[in-house]
Amino acid sequence: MIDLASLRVLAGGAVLLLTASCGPGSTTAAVTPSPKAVQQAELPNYNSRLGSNRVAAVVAARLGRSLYTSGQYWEVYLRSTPPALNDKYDPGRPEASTSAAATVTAAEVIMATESGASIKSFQAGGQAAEKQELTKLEADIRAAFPNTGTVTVRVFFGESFQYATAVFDHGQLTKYDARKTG
Amino acid sequence: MLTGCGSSAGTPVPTACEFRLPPAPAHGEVPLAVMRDIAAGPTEYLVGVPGGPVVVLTQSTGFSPPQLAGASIFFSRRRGTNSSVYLGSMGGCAHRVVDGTLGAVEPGGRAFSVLVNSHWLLYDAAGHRVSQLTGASGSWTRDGHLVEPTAAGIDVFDLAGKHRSMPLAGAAPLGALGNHQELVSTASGIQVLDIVTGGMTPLNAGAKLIRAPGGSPDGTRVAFLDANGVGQVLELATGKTRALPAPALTTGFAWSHDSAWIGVQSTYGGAELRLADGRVVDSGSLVVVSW
Repeated sequence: MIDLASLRVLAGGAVLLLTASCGPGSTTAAVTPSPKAVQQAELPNYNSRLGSNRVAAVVAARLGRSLYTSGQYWEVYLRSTPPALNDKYDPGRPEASTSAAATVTAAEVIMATESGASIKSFQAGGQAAEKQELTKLEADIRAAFPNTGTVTVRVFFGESFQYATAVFDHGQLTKYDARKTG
Repeated sequence: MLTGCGSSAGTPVPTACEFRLPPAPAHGEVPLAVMRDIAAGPTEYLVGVPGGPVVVLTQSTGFSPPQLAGASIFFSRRRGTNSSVYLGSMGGCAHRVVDGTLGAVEPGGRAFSVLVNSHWLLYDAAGHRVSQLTGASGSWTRDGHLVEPTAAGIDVFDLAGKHRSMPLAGAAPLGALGNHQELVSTASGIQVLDIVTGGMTPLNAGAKLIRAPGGSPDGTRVAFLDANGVGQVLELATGKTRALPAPALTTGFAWSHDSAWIGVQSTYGGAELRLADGRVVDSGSLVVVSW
């Protein structure tokens, strides 16, 4: 049972929370755009489920395909630094985006799978094999973004269990943290 | 056949050239196709040669894929909140045919279904309304019949808009097979419906689980996903199957008009197989949407 004093404390806290959101640094709740505005919005020229720009999405697709060829199905997302490239990608002339790709200085890859067979295959050779597989991916990323310094690969089993993180610096694996799994 | 901004044989075509389409790349033994780059945004479609040169058709196609039919190409184009159906030829003019979203195009380019104000309608290539449809975009047989699902079965429309109903409770059309057949999903499995006689025959595929079936235009083969998600081609005359290339998880198929090629669509791009000699073309992140 809540007494009157407790209620006052709760009410005071609520007032504090409400007023705390009204200061000069507060954010205003975004107004949900009307369906018309959404329909008129300019749509991106890249698949945002794969990458942060068109070249990144193309590379992510290539990585996903490469992993599939080795018997594993992974969802792959690649975010480059900078995330957006000053480039109008032409699928008929992908080589025209080489100079834009050369401005990328870092890349982060998230690869996730819910496939038990893929997880088993990825772990089958122990951490040495895992490192080798991720090093191959890093080489593919570096081929697309030749001036990349740091490449970070985060490996997820399922949607939220981060199994491993690999960090590469100019092509060298400098850190590999992998968690134990059951 | 539409070759520019004038009129096509026997049918009045608006003369306004709203924009020119890029010329199609030269193609050799691999036929021209409409493709999508899976790394692209939702409205970019390409025309070109699988594994070869491509050109962007337009960045504003709306959400329905363009379709090649004969020498013409049909596509939707977004204009603000509206969408219009355009007809043109590669390297020539494109003109607006009707406001709405493109559905299914008759393989000869003589007619198409279009969604206008939440209703599916049948239009001819000259932009004349032919008929109101039952309630879906439908699928065309090669001899020019549009098959539509209804609550009681299937409606079959001809090019003049005449339709007849076939009571097949619980059956859903899955796409054309050859000249006058339709693959239909029924409680007892996938069957082949002869839209002339109304006769149904089970698909000759043994006990295999069939998903995402796609019938070849010549009516001799059906592509499908087996129980393991692997693409297969079933030869109807013999019941024999052969595995299709799998660049990644297979999601669908696209037959060439002459049934010589089949495009495999996957989560990470496409591959195309020529059935006669087993030649495979790797189209990278591009998938063939239609030929």
